[in-house]
Amino acid sequence: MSEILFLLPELYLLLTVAGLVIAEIGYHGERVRLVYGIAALGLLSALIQTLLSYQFLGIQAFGGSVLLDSLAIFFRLFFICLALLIVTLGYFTSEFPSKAKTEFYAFAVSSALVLSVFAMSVNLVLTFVCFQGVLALAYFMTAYRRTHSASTEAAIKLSLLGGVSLVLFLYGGGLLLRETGTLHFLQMHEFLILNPLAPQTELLILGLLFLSAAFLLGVFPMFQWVPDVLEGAPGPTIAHLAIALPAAGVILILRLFLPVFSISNPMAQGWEVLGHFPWTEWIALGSGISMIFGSVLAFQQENLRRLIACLLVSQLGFLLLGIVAHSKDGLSALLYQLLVLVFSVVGIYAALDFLFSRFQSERLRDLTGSFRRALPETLCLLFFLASLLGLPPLPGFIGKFVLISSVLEKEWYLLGGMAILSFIIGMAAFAKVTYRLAGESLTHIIEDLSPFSVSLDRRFFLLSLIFPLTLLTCFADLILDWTSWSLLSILR
Amino acid sequence: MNALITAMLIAPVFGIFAQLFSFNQSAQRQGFGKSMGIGSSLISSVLGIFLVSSLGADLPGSEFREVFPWIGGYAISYDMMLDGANALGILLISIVFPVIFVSEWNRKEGVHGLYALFLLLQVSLLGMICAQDLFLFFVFLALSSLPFYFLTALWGGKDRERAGFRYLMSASIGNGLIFGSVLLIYHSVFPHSFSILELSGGRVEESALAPIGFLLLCIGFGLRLPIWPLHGWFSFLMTQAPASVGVALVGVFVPVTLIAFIRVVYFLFPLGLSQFGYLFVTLGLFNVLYSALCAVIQRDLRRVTAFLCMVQIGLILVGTGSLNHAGLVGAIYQGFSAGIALSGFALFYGLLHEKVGHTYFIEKNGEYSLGGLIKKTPLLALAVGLFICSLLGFPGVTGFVGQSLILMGGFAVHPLINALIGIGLLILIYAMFSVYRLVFLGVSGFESEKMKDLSAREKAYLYPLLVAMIFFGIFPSPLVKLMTPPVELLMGMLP
Repeated sequence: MSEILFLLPELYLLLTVAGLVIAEIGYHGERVRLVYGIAALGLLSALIQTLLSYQFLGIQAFGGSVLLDSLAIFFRLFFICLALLIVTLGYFTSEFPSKAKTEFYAFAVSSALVLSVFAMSVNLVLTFVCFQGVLALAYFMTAYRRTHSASTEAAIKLSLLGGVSLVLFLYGGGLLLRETGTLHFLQMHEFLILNPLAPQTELLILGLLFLSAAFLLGVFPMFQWVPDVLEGAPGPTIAHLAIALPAAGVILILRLFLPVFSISNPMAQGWEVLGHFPWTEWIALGSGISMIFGSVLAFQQENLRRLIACLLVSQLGFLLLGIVAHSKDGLSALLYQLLVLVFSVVGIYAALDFLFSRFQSERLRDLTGSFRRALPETLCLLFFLASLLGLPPLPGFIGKFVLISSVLEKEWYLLGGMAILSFIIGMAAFAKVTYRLAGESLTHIIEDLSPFSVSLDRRFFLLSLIFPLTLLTCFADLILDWTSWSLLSILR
Repeated sequence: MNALITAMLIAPVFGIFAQLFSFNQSAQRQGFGKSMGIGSSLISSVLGIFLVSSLGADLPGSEFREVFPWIGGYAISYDMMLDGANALGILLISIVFPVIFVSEWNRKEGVHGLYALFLLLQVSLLGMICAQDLFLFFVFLALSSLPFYFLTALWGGKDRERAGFRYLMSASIGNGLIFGSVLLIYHSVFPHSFSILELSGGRVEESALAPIGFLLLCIGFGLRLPIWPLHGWFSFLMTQAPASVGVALVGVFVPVTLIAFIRVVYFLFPLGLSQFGYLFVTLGLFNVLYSALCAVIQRDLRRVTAFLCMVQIGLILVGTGSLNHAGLVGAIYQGFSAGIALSGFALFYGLLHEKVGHTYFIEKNGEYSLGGLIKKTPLLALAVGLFICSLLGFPGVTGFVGQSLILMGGFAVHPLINALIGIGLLILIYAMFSVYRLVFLGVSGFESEKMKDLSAREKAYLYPLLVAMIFFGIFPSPLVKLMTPPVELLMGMLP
């Protein structure tokens, strides 16, 4: 019975998906549709139930395949909040017709459901199934604009690279199963302490699993999908993919890499690498290259959507600093930065969705004048972008400070330097965007300067996203304490 | 009483919101927005002047301090303090910023954006000078770079985008290096701390990372301030930025950041400073001589202002590196003095640009377009003459006090320093008197007819600067007394 009780949020999400499917089947052209209401209500119920599930901490179910610890609850809350924001973004978007939105809501809620189970999974098979589910849903959401060639191309790229990473994971996981004889991550760890792997086998397993995690995280050497997919997919899907897939990658690291291939050291508040190969160095390489490559590439872009996609690559590189640090501080900053990413990225795409639909273009040159014609939306876009890039004193800066600080603590000075360099180049890209949106509208002759009409609810949604970012800045201490506490279960 | 520093910081924020609500509105709402901008800046200034005037001159340490934890896990706190050393920076900000707003009152295009950015700049500079937490200090310092970029790139001259971009890149690299230094400082002490007071007294220098931190900090500030040889962006920016931005840059940002820099290096790196103080003096002398020579060959008042500013920076560096009481007091006082005089001089070229359309006193073909202005604009000629006198250190104005103290400090180190400064100042006197002669004296140029004497608005923004310059030139003792306890504290840090 308790197994069902602690899975109530997932049950609510499942019921919401069912409700959406029934609403879609039963739709016969009525004027008023309640699908957004169903999706929002279901997600809100799941959110409240998740908060209540803190009383079930430490429970395992289904033969130990799922574990409800503080980390799982953190990610549950994270994915449900994300789905709620994505559904709301989908409600306002004009990228797909309103009659087709039900399917999108269903995909977003399903994705929250799968990712939530992914966060609880401590079993290799269940993790693989969730990995597959996440990719399948990402594919459907990317290819959602069926007649849009960029969308289709993005979906094909995602499915191809995703397929490759799934195979890599399957092969790496299979080898790990063969060597350890168990599917449970903690049992694998116990086995590996007593029976270290042969160096070649360990290298192969770690390499394969690292490549599949790098795909999810969207970092070097598997970041090729990010710019194309985050340019071609519909806006709400981009916001979803840019956050959900890297978060899934983080889960893979926290659930599989850390417990299996590291030894926790609660006294030192961190971990030490287990085995022959310092896999954190690979992650450091991925992080450094992604940070620099992403920001340099972003600076050269003229398409705003692609520019932000490239900037996201560099931000995902920043996330990895927390893993490289291999410490509680680093990982708590990583979780904090994920929270910053949610509100900043959703805010960016909410503002972009409005601007692109009004200007009918994604090119920076064509967006000149947005400062005059849509001042609140443009200002919000710049605010969210500044927050993402970490302009002081916005929360992105606090997150980055703690991340860089945690790698410096472990004497990764070169990586810290690369992070600062990436930060500088990112600022230049930000200046370029700002100049195009704000500057030229003041100094160039623009024929039409009439302000665009915006619905109040849409503007309210955009402005409301500033609130959580302000809280993340003002109460950074409390939130970092919470993220740090969420990691306690894997530190033991 | 204890929330006054925060109130001083927050007042301009209300002005920023007023600008946002006035954007794209009717003329009446626009007037309201502008009034709110000036009003909020003035409230902040009044609070600043009140705080400075309330400081007890004989108290060691601070009288006003506001502290509460922000990110306790990383020892980051909102720690703001006002003492005699940073009081001059606050006084400078409080005098010059309202002047900038009045000077831009008549601007038609994008005035609300301009006001909002100046208000943001005021907040960031006030925050930077008061911050006693290194993290907070960096936050405000980095925040100050964006307004300058936008103000130049949006409202500047023909080559504004390039000038703005060059500035932004220099500022970003400077910020990055300072951030790196701040992180190294934080990690060099156990338990980790960002509190400048806790890190003071050589605690940072016990770590092996200290020399790198010191080097990064100096190069970072060298880039943010136009210190030779890292000044490439500066003269270019000055030629492209609107005059009001020039005022904010040379009149407020540079002196205030220099004062903040002095405090940070004396508190955190006393050993490094005592070992490499001579490098500061050498660099300062290079700045004085190089910039004075550059000023001689200019024909644009904007570039003259840029090199004038660099001469003042050189003098302040000499005072900082002298490592004695007179030199240090002189350096801080000269920061205040140069800020007032440079603001006045930059406002003058802005005024010229407004009426004549350019700032050249010698045309490209070698003709003198101006000249004989003293007959048409006697009040302006008098005001500019006084600003130049202050910059050259003539008695009766603030520049004399600051430069005399710096020379006293320099003499105690080596008489040659004073000889070299003297040569630099002589070259500068030649340059400035040539400028004054070509603009105000002699036969009227073909564009002099376009000039009129000071209007009521122009008097409103030039006179406060003149009053401050003359008042504190004749009665420097209140400010010097105010600085004495904190300067003694800073000197006590040295080994």
